[in-house]
Amino acid sequence: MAHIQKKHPLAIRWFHWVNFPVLALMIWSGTLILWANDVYATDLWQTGYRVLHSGKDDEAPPRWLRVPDRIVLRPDVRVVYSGDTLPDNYPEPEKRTEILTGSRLAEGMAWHFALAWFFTLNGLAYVLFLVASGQWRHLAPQKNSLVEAVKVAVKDLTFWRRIEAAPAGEKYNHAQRLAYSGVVVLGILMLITGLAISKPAQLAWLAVPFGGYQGARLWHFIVTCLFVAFFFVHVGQVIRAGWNNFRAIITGWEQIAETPEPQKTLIEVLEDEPLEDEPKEEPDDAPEPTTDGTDTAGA
Amino acid sequence: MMPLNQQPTELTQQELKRLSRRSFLWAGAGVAGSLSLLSLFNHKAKDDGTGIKQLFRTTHRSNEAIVTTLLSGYRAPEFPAARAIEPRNNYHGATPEIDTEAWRLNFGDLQLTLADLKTLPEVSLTTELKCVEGWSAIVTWTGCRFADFAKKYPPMPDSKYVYLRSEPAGFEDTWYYVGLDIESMLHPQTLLAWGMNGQPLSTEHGAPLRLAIPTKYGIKNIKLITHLSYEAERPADFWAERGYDFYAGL
Repeated sequence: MAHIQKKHPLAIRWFHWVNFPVLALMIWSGTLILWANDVYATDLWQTGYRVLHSGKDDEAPPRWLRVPDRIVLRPDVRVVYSGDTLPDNYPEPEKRTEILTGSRLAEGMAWHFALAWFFTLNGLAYVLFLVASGQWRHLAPQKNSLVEAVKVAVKDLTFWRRIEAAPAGEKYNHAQRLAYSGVVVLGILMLITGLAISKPAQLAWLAVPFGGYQGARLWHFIVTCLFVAFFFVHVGQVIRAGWNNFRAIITGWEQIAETPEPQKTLIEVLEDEPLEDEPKEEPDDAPEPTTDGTDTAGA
Repeated sequence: MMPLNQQPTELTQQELKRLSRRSFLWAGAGVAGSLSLLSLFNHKAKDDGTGIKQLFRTTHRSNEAIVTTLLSGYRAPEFPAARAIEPRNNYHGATPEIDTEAWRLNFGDLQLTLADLKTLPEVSLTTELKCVEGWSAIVTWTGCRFADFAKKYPPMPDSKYVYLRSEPAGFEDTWYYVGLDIESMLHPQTLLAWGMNGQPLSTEHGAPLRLAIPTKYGIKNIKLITHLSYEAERPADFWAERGYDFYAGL
């Protein structure tokens, strides 16, 4: 026999699996928008190198910093860096940025502003469901969460060991509590910074806490990086936690460890059996049991 | 604390397998379905002729309808003039050669000179110019409000759009043209500008007359305006024909 219990309600499984492809496409289309102009890629890390070259006479980046052609967003686009020998028919320096990346800006914006609705509505529905169903209790951090999460993280950093399941009776451990409530905060920040930079005149006040329009753009990008970081840690931990844990986000059910209480003897089981059948053995002429007082109120 | 589930359900291994199999079949069908839909959309969904899908054009139009309904009567942020800088020159990567003296603004049968426009009240505003590519620059623009222009040269009652064009001026053969909704044009921060950062507008930045409209992306801030007309129907737009949103509102 397998003891199983419900872990993830159907709604949460839907929110999770709708969010995954939507967020992936949001990040992809956001990259198309970011790479329409390479000024920010340079400024963020101050490496002096650009993700894509705009035709200035900079020094060529070392090989390991180059983006392999294959992962660029279009097969017919080559990433060209300063210092590269260019073919004779290569376009004028001023036109290179547009030819390399700008041609997909319109497409990126189209996808981004359409999918933003799905990301927002799915996210809001998730938060509303957490609140309405009480599921928020499973992932809200508690007083000791920070300390406990550090302990969990230190334990989990021993990569050769299998990671521990959540404490008995709990859905998540404290590191998970922080991570899963953290992504809700990230999602909210994503929405706010996204609104701030897509409507910087109408919703200018939204950009104020982020230091204005460019600040909000930077935060939108930082939050994206944090989402990507979350993704890698999350997937890594899910792989380590094993099949039973992963299955739960698909089926909703999780197999639980055998309870330590002693097994019933055969006699105890047999004694229990008739009790369950008792209501069925009531005589046919007995008055129908009424559980609802309103049925007899008028009699 | 809400318990996960009071009663663990007991199942035989076979039942558990069947339960899992059913869920995974649904999940697999969901993945296959989504990928097929995405592929179908990429290959079969109708392009609107500008490089983006018709569905995305519809989304742009719906977003525009939502934004104009929910959020009207706003002003773009203004800044102290000391923060103004020279913006990048995105003049198609080149700069036209123009004869400012010979320049006229063609408006119906009229050929307006810069002196004609300078009879309107002069205004200076320091606003942030935002490029659709992401960069932005705070700039002080000097000119007249389009609203004042429209008082002197009023639109027809059925005019819903303003169509602004820039004649080819020596550096390439193409016209540049933008269509703008008349509400955005009559916005008090929309200027027909002849000055930038305290100087007369330079050729690089659109001399002798350009549009400075901080409630729209830079693509709508047309330089070297040579033709202006009021339109009842949505006019052509250079970048909307290349897949961008016509409204391009901020």
